[in-house]
Amino acid sequence: MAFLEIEHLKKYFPSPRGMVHAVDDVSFSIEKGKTLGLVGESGCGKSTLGRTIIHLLDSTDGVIRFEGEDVTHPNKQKLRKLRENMQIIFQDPYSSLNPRLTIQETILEPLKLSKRFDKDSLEKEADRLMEMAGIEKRFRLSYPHELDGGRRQRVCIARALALMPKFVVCDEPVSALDVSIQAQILNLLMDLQDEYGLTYLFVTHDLSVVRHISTDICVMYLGQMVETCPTKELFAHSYHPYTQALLSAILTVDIHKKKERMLLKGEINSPINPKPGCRFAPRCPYATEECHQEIPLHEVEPGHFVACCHVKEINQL
Amino acid sequence: MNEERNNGQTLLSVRDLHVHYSSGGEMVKAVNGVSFDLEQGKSLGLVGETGAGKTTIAKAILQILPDHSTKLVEGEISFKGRDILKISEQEMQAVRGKEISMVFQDPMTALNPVMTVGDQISEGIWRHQKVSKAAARQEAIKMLETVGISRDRIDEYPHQFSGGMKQRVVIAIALACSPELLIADEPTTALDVTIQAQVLDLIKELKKKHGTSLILITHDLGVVADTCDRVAVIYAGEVVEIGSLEEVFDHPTHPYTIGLFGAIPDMYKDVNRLSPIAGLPPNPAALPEGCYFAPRCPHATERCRSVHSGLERITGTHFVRCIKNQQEG
Amino acid sequence: MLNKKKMNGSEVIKKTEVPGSLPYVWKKIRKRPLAMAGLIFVVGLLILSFISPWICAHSYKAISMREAFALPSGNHPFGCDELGRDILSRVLYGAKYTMSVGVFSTLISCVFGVILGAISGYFGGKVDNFIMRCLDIFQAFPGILLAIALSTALGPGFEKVIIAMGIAFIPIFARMMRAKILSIRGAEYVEAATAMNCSTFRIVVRHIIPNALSPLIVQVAMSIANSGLAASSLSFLGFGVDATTPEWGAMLSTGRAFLRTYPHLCIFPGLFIMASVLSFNLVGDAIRDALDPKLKD
Repeated sequence: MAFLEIEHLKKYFPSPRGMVHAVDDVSFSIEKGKTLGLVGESGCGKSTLGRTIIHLLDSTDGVIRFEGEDVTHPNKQKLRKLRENMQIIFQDPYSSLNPRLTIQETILEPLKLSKRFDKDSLEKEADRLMEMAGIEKRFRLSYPHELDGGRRQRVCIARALALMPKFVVCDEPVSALDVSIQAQILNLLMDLQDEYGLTYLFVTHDLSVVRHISTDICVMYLGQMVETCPTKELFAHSYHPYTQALLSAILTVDIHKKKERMLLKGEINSPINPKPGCRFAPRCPYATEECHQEIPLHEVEPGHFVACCHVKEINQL
Repeated sequence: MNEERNNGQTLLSVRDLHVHYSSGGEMVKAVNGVSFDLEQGKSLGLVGETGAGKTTIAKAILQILPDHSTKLVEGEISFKGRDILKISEQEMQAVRGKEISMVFQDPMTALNPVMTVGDQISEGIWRHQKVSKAAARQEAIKMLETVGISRDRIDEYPHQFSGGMKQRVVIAIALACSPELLIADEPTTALDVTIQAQVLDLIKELKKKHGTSLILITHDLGVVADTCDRVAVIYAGEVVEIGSLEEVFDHPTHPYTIGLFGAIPDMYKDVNRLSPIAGLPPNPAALPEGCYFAPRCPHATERCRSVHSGLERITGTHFVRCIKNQQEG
Repeated sequence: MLNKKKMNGSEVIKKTEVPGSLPYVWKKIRKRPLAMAGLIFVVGLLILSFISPWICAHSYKAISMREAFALPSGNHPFGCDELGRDILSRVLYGAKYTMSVGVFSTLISCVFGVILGAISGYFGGKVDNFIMRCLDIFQAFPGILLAIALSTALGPGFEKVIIAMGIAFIPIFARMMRAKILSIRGAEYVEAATAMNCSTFRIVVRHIIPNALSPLIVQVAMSIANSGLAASSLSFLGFGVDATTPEWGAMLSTGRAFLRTYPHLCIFPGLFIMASVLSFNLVGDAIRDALDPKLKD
C-alpha cells in the first residue's frame, strides 16, 4: 500500500479565455519516508498540484488516497485531521509569514489551533520546535522582517512541522535563497526527514536540487506528466524529449564537461483549452502527426514511465 | 594594491573602487577596493551572494548610483583609457547606452509597458547615432531578428511577449548601438531553465559576432562556467578571488570560493549532504576587522581576524585574498 | 534594492518596533519636523477652538456695526467682518466645525467603507459584484456634486453636512479596503493559516485585518483634510451650514462680496483652510511613509 496515491487528478480553473487545465490527469504514488521530486518550468502546474493534494484547492476530478484511505472529498472533521498530517512549506519566506506576528507567535499558531497543548506546555513546545529548525532562542520575540531569508525559511519549517505531519509539500523552498543558505535549508530538510520519517513532495524547477534530495522524480509539462522514474534512473537515461531538453539545459560548474545542448523552439504554450495529444509537440524536434493523439503514460522499463509515442524511435529502444 | 597585468587590449580597468552609501542612518560599505581588468571581446563573471556589492559595482561603472544616498565613490574606472569617474554627466550620457549598456535582471520591469518594442529599440539608435527615425526603425528590425524575434512583432507591446522574449527585447535594446561593453545583471535569473539556455546562447553568439565585451553578474556558478572567460568572486564588496575560468573552477583557493562550490548540488556529483557555508554574510555597515570572511571561515586563525589581506598572485593570472594561502604558497 | 541588500546582509539583528504599530509610527513622525508642525497646528487649533469663548476678547457672534469692516488692529488682530464681528474669534471658534466635519464624516465613510470593502474583498463573486457596481454608480458623480445633492436632499444643518460628506466618500474607503484585502487574501501566510486549520473568522481577524490597517490610517488622515475642504466648499456654495455659523467656508462665501475692498474677510479664513489642509496632508504623508517598509528613514 502506497503512503500517498494520486489517481487521474485534475484541477481546472475557469478563466475569461476558457478553462485553464492546470493539472490534467496526473497519477503517481509516494512511499513512506521517501521524497518525490516534482519538476517542471513555471506554469506547468506543479505548485497547483501540490496545493490540490493538501486540499488548499479542491480537485476537479480524480482520487487522492492517503494511507490507504480515500481523502478526495473529506468532510470538515476529516479535513481537520488531514491537515494536521499534511503541511506545506512555501517558496517565498518573505510572504509566507504574517509580518505582524512574532516568531514565537507564528510557531505557536498551529499548536494553539490544534488545542492539543495546555498553556504551560505551549512555550516548551515552541522552544523545542525552534531548536529543531535551528532558530536561535534570541529571535523568539523578533518579527519576520528582522530575520534574513534563511532564518525565515527555518521559521516556516518549524511552523509546518509543529504538529508533526507525516507528509509535507515543499514548494520551491530554496529557490528564493542564496546559494550558501540554500544548502543549509536542504540539509535541514533532509535531517528532519531522517529523524521523523517524513514524506516529501518536493516541487521545484531546479533539477540539480531535485537530484540531490529526491528518491523519485516526476517531470511535468503544461499540466501533464511526461516522465516518471527513480531519480538515479532519470539522470542515467531519460527518454522523453522534454526531459532530455531540460537536462541538457542545466548548467554545470564542471567546465570540462562540455555537453551538447538541446535547444527548444519557442516557449511554453497556453494551458487554456489545450489541443488533445502531447502538449510538448509544438516545441518537440521529433513531433509528427501522430503526436496529436492522446498518449497515456506507459512503462518503458520497469518503474520508468514515459508519455511519448515516439519514445522507441527517439531512444532506439 | 596588487594589480593584475595582462597583455591583451584592455577595454575596462577598474582600480581600487570604493562605494559607500547611507541607509537607515548607517554608512553601508558596499564596495571596498575592487580592481579588475577586462580585455576587448572577453567576458568577466562577477559572482557573489545577495548584498555582496555586485550590482553596485555595475552601477558605479555606468554611474547610475542613486544620488541622494550615495556618499562616496572613489577609485578609478578607466574605459578605453579614459577615467569615466572624472568626466561630466553630459559626456557620460554619450557613453551610457552607446558604448556601455546594461541588461537588468527583471525583463518585466525593464521595459516601458506603453511603448512598442520597436520604438524602445530604435529610441536608443536615433538618439546616439543621429540617424533618421526611419533608418532607426530599420536598424531596430535588424536587431529584433538578431535576437531571434520575427520582424512582424515590432509594433507589439511588452505585455504581448513572454518572459524569455522580453529578455531578448531587453538584450536587443542594450545591443542596438553595438556597445563595446555589455553589463548583464543576473540576465537569466528570472527565466526558466530552457529559456535561460536560449538567452545565454544568444548572449554568447552576439558577443562572438560583434566582439562585445561582457561583464556578467550572477550568483550562479553554472552560468559563469557556461559564459565567462574570467571570474571574480565578490564577498562583502571585495574581490576575494580572481582568475581565468580554468584557474578558479579547477583550483578554487579562497575558502569562500571553495565553500560556494561545496554548497551547490551538482548534476554530476553524488553527495549525501551538501556542505553549506556556516553563518551569514557580514553586515556591510559593520564589517569585521581583518578578513571579512574570517567569522565564517573554517580555517580562520587569530591572525585572520586581525590582518586584512591583500590580493596576492598564486599562479598566472590567479589572485587570491587570503593570508593562509600566502603563507603556504 | 539597497534595502533588500541590507536585510539579507546584516548579521546584527536590531530590535525595532513592528512596522505599522503605533509606537513605531509615532517614532517616525517625530523625526519629521514638517509633520510635527502640522500635527501641532491641528491639535493646537482644536484646543484653541474649544477654549476660544474664554480666551478671546470678543465673542464670535457679538455684532458691532460700528466696527464693520474694521481692518486688522491691536484690538482685532484679524479685523472685523461686515457685521463688525471679530474675525479672529470666528476663525478660532469655527475651527471645530470644519475639523469636526472632517473627522466625523471620515469616521462615517471609514466605517461603512471598510465593512463594505472587506465583505466585497473577502467573499468576492456575486456579493463583490453587487457592492462594487453600487459604488460605481456613486462614484459616477464627482464627490462634491454628490455631496451637494445629498445635502440638498437632507436640508441644511451641521449634522447633515457631516452625513452628506460621509456618504460621498464611502466608495474611496471601500475600494481601498477591497483592493488591500484581495491582495492579502492571496498571500502565502493566509494560505499557510488555512493549511493549519485556521477558521475563516480567525484568518480575517488575526491575519488579514491587521495587515490591511496601515493604508487605512493614511487614507483617514488624507480624508479628514479632503472632507474638511469639501465641507468648506459646500458652505461656500451655500449648501452647508447656515450663514450665521462661523464655518470657514461660509465665512469665505460671505467675504467674497467684499473681496476687492476688504480682502481680510477672505484672507484669514482662507489661510486657515489652507494651513489645516496642508497640516493634515503632511501628517498623512508622514504616516504613509512610516508605514511603508520599503522606506527606511
